[in-house]
Amino acid sequence: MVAQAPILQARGISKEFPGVRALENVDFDVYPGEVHTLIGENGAGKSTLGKILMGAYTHDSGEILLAGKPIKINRPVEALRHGIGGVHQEFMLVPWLNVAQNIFLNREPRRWGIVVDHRRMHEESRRLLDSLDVHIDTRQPLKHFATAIQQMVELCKVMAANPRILILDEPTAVLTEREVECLFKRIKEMRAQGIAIIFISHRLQEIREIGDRVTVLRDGKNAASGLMNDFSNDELVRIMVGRSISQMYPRRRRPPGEEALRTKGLSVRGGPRNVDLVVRKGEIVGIAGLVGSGRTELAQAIFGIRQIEQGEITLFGDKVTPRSPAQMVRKGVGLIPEDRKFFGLTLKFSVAWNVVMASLRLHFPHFMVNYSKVARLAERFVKELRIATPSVSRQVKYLSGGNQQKVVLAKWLDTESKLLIFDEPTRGIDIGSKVEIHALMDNLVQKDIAILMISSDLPEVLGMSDVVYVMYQGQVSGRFNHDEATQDKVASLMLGVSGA
Amino acid sequence: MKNKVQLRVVSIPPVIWIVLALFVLYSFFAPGFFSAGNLWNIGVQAAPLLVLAIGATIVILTEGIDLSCGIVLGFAGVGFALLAQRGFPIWLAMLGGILLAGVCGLVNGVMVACLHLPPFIATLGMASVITGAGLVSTEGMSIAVRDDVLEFVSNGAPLGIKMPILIALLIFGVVLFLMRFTAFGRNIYALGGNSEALRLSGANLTAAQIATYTVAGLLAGIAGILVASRTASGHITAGLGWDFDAIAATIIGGTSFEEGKGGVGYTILGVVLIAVLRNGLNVAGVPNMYQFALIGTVVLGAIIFDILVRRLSGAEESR
Amino acid sequence: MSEAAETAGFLHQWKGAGFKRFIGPLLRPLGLLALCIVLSFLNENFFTLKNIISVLRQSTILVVVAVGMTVVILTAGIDLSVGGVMALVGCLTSQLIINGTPIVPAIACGLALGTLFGLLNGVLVRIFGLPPFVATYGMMWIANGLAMILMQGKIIFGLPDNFLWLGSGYLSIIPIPVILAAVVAVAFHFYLKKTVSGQEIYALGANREAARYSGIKITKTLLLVYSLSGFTAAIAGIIMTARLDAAQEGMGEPFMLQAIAAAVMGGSSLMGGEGGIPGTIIGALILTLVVNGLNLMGAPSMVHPLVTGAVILTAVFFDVVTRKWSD
Repeated sequence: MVAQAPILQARGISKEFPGVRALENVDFDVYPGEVHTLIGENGAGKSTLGKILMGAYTHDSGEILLAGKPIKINRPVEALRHGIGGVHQEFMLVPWLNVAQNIFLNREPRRWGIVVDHRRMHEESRRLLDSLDVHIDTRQPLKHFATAIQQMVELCKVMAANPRILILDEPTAVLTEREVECLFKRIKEMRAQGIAIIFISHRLQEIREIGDRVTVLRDGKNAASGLMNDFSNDELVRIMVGRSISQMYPRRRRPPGEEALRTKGLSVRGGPRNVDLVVRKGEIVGIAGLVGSGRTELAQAIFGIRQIEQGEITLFGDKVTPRSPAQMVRKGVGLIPEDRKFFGLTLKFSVAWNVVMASLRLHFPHFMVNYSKVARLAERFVKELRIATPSVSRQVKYLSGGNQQKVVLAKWLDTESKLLIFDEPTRGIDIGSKVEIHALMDNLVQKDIAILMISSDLPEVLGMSDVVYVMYQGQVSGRFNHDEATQDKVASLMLGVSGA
Repeated sequence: MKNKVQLRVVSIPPVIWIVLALFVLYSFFAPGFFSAGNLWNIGVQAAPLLVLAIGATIVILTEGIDLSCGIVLGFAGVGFALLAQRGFPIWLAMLGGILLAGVCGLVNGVMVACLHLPPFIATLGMASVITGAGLVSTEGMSIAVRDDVLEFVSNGAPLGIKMPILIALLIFGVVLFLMRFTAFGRNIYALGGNSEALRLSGANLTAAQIATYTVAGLLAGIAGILVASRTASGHITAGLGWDFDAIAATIIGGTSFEEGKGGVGYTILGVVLIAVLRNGLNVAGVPNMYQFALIGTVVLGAIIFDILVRRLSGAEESR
Repeated sequence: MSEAAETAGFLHQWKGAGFKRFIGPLLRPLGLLALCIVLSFLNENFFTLKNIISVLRQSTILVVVAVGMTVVILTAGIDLSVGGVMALVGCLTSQLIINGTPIVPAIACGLALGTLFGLLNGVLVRIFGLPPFVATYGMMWIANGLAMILMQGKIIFGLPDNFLWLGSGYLSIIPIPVILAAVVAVAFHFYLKKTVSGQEIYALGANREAARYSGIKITKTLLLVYSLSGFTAAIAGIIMTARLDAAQEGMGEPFMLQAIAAAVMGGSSLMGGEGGIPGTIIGALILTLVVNGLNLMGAPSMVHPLVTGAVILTAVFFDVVTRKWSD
């Protein structure tokens, strides 16, 4: 490692979102010609820090120094002008423009200053893509290509601006092994050229292969930092998680009841293929997998939102063809969606209205709504679930993430659902609420409700589930009982590595 | 592989089939359609519509809509006629009318881009305001304009092609160039669907949107001058119903409210279709009142057909 | 008052955002009052019973159309075809009556036609996924075209007195149209506020996806909403025909924009999920009074579109701005 000054430094960075403190006084730096990996579990704040550095977010306090001089970045394009380029999971691409147009968006090569030079644009794009071993027709609209290719295009877009600092946030989430190899090769080339690379991930095998230094974030704060070789994997895990499993995941195991849900050979449009799954009453079945492995699509299919192409679903012993959420709700299924703000709640409405929204016809079979009854029902759940709100008429948008999630849960409890599907139940929620929600889930299971839980938080999956399924690229790649499941076994199946 | 085949099927616009079908129909029911005089007539009548429809297209590509373009067309004619009446040289009066229309477009753009009003209500409200302004400034009457230049603009035929057609094609070419080779064009394509990516890449979305509506206004103004030249007068209702034709031509041509689909090149096909449809119906003696209902049904039918085709070919996800 | 009931009281209004919750509901009645006062200077007879009844009667057609429009706007949709439907239904009903059909079946036909048109709008919007302004815009032209075909350029007048009673009859001192409009308004208000279906409309408009994920039947609700709009447009068309003793194509034209204006001024946001009938009625009254005032001042009728357009732009602007403040 060359002893020079760091090219990019972040000092005392703090960032708050409504209800959640994402980063608290975090320091970070990176030198030219090194790969500095940033790791932590889900919600630790590493993505947030990455986004701040690449200009997608602004920080609340602290400063960022570029080659020793403080800078202010409000937008990604400004960061690019400073030579900082980033690729994160929400692509900044326009799906209906073609590949080359996307790579050179607002920076198209021009002839005579005004006229866009399409030929040169396509040549350059092809060259950039070839260097990543991606060979596609750059004239095709971007949306025709898989997510993995789109990510490569996003990467090319950044590389086309010749950044001095490159920030990659979970770049391998959607890539195959071969694609990861190509990516790493390119990263090593860039490192040799003196580019500073920040690599954000929570996959220990990968960061060990590519990283020179490592920094661990936990609960939004610096937890450890140093040379990669100074830490063993176990040490890193311990620093990342930092607390005993049993505290986080209260689970009282009990013998499961009859089958609530069974899928056979289920293939869903645009997602999973040939899924066989069983969830029984009184148990939590967890599905682990990477982003893009088809889990959310599976949940959507069961809930009637996504079309089923093949296979069958049996619900509480009866065969069923889900056609709409309305139908599935009546059959006793509830979905707590991944994006609770858009799909789980109506932010403008009060807590009370959100709680009863799914069960209006249940409570008022004669179609006449009684406002006092609505208030009373809501208050009951506020007390039972300990939702922190001054009153049930408060608009839900003012509640913290954890409390919002509780409102969503209350909605389904109000419908007396017997099968609940949780998609990322504790994403973006502070630690205290996470524990509470886990405890609530445990309570539900004690009452014989069946829970299907999708989670990218591996410790959560391992801690809460009675049965663990692993999905990889749309297929079920493994199934474990609680006792058999270990982090290594599950993780390797998640990554598509077969065998121990 | 499968994608490529499907793409080809969808990319031949259904418009072409419909136009061919119409030709066949007309050869039976409206033989007068195919005379040289009639065909030139169609071209001259369709020319202002083409210009107007181009404006409608670029606005629709940004996922907006301009329901005021018909009224702006008439307003440009009114402005032109009033200026001519007051003694301004004829070319200046024409320019004045066009600029007036441009200002209307600018106001539309500001309402949509800066004040964030939904486009349909902003342009609808604007149409109402301009109608009132147009009526008041002319006291509801048509203002006549007499000048030899008008004869040239509406009937002159340099190079053997009638002037209005020449102008329309020229504008078509210019806009086509702008769409393909400049930032202005790229912005329009990217704006459709509130493209966050475009904003993050540093482009000024507000300016782009305002520019789009302003250009649409200018185009409506040019169309208005073409119409005013032919009728040798200016009246606020000159363009009544043209906004419908312009939007219909755009949608039938293949531009849809979905992201990025279509373009000015497609619209010319739509204009041909609408002009052919109307003319053929006229020659066959179908009264004007039936035509509106008919064309409305055809347009909606075309949209529905397009959606069904895309659903069946699996290009769209269910719901 | 029990705690729950108190909370319930708040819940009634708790569909809107901060500014709209407190200031908004006060602003509108105050505006109406202010307008009344201004007009009383122009017309010394303004606050007489006779004049008040006259104003109410003038506003009935608009109120009826605007009520249906409100329901559509609540779902973040729009119905641009109401003017066309009004004309078509008015023309059809009067044609039927002139040609010998008894009044009640003729009216029933008209209402059915309007509702059917609305249903078609709903189908286009929901089943075919057309943006509402495109679908209803196209249907508007179709409705106008059909009206034109039906009338062949003629005007119908000389309708039987039984029918005209609907437009110019009285029940003691209250004109029949006012009673009809009141019934429609009260019924819809009740429907929106007190029934599950009505509440689902609000939920759908506020966040369609969340409503869908909560098991609310989107398709059924949307089809219903557009059908209702067609239905009220039909009622308005019939009342208008009865009032004027005349039917011609294009007679519903100014009402489309005015209905939207009334709803938006009344607090219904074009983006859905907010608003209601009482506000719409106030909006309709304000618009009627504005036109009334213009006439009193001797302004030519050419000015009306200018004023309506300006009013609606201002109203929508305020809607958008206040929504931004509270988001």
